[in-house]
This record gives sequence, C-alpha cells and structure tokens, in this order.
Amino acid sequence: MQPSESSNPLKSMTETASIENVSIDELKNWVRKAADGNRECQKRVYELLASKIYRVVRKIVGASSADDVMQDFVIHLFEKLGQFRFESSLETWAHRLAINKCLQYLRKINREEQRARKIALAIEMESDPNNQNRIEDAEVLQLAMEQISGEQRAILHMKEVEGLGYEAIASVLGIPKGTVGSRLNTARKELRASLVHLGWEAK
Amino acid sequence: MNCEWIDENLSAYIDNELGAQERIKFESHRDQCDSCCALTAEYQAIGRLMRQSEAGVDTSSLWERVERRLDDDRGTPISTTWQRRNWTYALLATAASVAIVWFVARYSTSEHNHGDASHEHATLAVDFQEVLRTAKLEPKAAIAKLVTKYQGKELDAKEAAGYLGYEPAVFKSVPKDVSLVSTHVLNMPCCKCSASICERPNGTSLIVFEHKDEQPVWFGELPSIETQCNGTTCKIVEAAGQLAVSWKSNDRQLTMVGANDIAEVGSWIEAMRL
Repeated sequence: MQPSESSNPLKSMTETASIENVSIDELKNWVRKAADGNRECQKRVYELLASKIYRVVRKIVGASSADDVMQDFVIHLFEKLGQFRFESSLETWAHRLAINKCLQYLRKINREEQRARKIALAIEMESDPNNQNRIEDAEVLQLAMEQISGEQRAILHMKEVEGLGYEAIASVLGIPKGTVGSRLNTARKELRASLVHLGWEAK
Repeated sequence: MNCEWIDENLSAYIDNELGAQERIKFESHRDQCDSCCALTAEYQAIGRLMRQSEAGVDTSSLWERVERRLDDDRGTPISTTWQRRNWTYALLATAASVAIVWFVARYSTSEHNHGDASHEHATLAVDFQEVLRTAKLEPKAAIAKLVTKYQGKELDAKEAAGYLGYEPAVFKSVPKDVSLVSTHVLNMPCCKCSASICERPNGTSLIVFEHKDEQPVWFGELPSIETQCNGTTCKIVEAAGQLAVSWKSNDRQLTMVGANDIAEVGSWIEAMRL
C-alpha cells in the first residue's frame, strides 16, 4: 500500500451525524435507552445534537468557557431526557436546556468581573487608534458580542447562524412568537452600536 | 408610513417574517429614505458578518470528558463494561504513547508531588510527542528511546509470550506485503506491552503496540474521532502530523502509530483479528 500523504485521512473518516437522517422510531428508541443510562445511545444522542448546541453555547458564554458549560449541559440533558415526551423536536428542547444552562452560568459570573473586563476592553481599544485597523472583522464581532447580553447573543445566533424562523425561536426561548421580532430588533440595535463603537463599517 | 414604523419592523423585514402588503410598504419607504436604507443594509451586513465569522466545531474530544463525568456520577469503577473498554480505555491503554500520557496525568493528580515529579512529567511529555513524530520514518530511534526508558528488550515470539503471558498478535499475522522487523517488550508505568516495528513495501514503517491489561488512561487534549472500520470500532488520534489508530481485538488492546489511511487500518484489523 502506498502512502497517501496529500490526503487528510482524519477528515475523510469523519462522518457528520444528522438528526434529519434518523427515523422518529429510531430516535425514540435512542432517547429512551439514553435516559436509562445506555452509554452507546447517550453517545448517539450526543452526536446528533453536539455540533449545533456547541455553537450556540460558544456564542453565549464565549470560547474559553464553552467546553465547561457544554459538559454541564450534556450531563443535565441526560438527567432530564426521561422527561422528554416528543411534544416538540428534540433539537428545540435541547436548545432550550442549553440556553438556560448558559444563562445560569453567566448569572454566576461575578458581575464586577464582567464590568472590569468591559472597561479594560474599552481602554485598550481607545488607547491605540490604529488598533481598530489591525483587528479583523471576526475579532471586532467577538468583542461587540461581549457587550450585549447572553439572551441577545442567543437569539441572534439562532436567527443569523442557524437560520431558525420566529416560531422555532419562540419555542426554544419559551416566549410568544409576536415578541421575537422586537427582541431581535433590540439585539441587533445594541450589537450594531457596539460594532460601530469598535470602528466597524458595513461592507 | 414613517421611519419609526420601519425601525420597529426592520428585523421582521430582514427575516422574511413580514406579510406581503407590509413588505411592499416597507420597501416603498426604504427606497425613498437614505437613513432607513442604510440601516437595513447595516443589519443585513451584521448577519453576513456573523455567518462568516462562525468557526468550525469539533465536539468529538469533548465526549470523552462527558463520559468520564457520567461514570463519576454513576460511581462505577473504571473499565467494568464493554462500552467503557470499547471507547475510552481500550484504545488508550494500548499505545505506549497513550500510556505515557496516562502516566503524566497520574503524576499531575496524585500524591507524587515530590521533587522529581515535575522533571518526570516533562520528560514523559517529550517522549509522547517523539513516538508519534518518528514512528513512520525513524521507528528504530523511537523504539530505542522507549527501550532505554522503560527497561525494554527485543524478544522472539516464544520469549515475548513468556514475558507478557500471551503471544502478541503481530507474530501470528500481519497484512500482506508488510514485514515484521522487530518486537520489543516494554515495562511501561501502566503495564507491560509489546511494541513491534513493521515495514511496508515502500520502506516506511509503523509501530504496533499491544497489551492485555485494562488500564484507565487519560487521553489528554488531543483531538480524536471514532469510526467503524470493517465492523470494528476504531479511535483515531492525530498528533505531530501522524495518526494513531486504536481498537480492541478480543482481550487485546491494539494501537498502530503511523497509519496512512483507513484502508490500511482495515487490513490490520483483519490481519490481527483474534
């Protein structure tokens, strides 16, 4: 066998699990067994949900805390899985649990610490006028995201990155559909203000 | 229709949640109002920025940490079920590289916090990187270092069976066109294991580690994936540009370091099926 140095075997061996490819009967079977502690089924449920949920967790709590919060969420998910009755989609239900876990985490963080971090950030940005030209848009976005609330990060991520409709967002957040638009409006307004403060311009 | 109405309905417009009539009204005003037009464009640009800035996600390594916590919560001893051996420890316990990592972890968390521990820790971490880095092109150098450190010696099939309590599978069969160059036994901190250098027709090598003991091992932060290969669950770790692939065959833990691709892994799984 000849070595294939140019290929990426790790990548080629990766398979992305997708909840859409699993039948409802199969999913119910996995969920039931996972709730009973069956490790293989817990792993399957994890693989179905992990990628999307991790993104939203990372968006809300930040990359440095995402792993810890995600672990807490998964443990919590398996504890609660026995209560899931398939009245909504598993993804929606899991999203709700994950977002609640993130918001709980944020509330635990020392408020003074958050405030000090924001001030340090503002000083850093203003002390070097050239700084704004050096940092990339993605970094500006990350900094601006830190200026808005966890709830706002969650709703923006669900809309802009995951592309969920208002009904789905309302279901995840447990709010009336009619209030989703106004919440998104507020979140976008505050994010835009933070971005502009950091020197971002629309392209 | 005024700017205030536009402002209130801006998100609904961008998100295609406005009715047809309201949409027409919105666009009619927007097209005549520079500030509303600019604001709409900015919100849309923010959406694009968010999507473009979204980094990739790899959650496979996180599962191992979740699994450890699930076991801790359950209070079950390590390595008591097939599932556990199958995914977490089967793979990890096999490779000498992994065993080294385990040893590092043990020292970092145990009561061995005397003066030599930090030195041992650092040295072992270097060993781990070295094995992965050198397995393919300088396997003898990689083995020589392990032999020196872990009182290793080269043995034939009978001698190895006497030392380990079983004959390493590599003596029974290797894939077609691959030749067994040497087998050493190592007295690793976690267990006794064999390390065999095998050579491909093109002159490159790989190292196959094998042992029988079940040993809890910390896998560190290395990214890994799990996949089915010829009906066998494999775990694949990439480090230093090399692949380490581990699987379980009957009561053995096997790991090959320096694998080329999944087809090669498949041929090894078949050849070493016990």
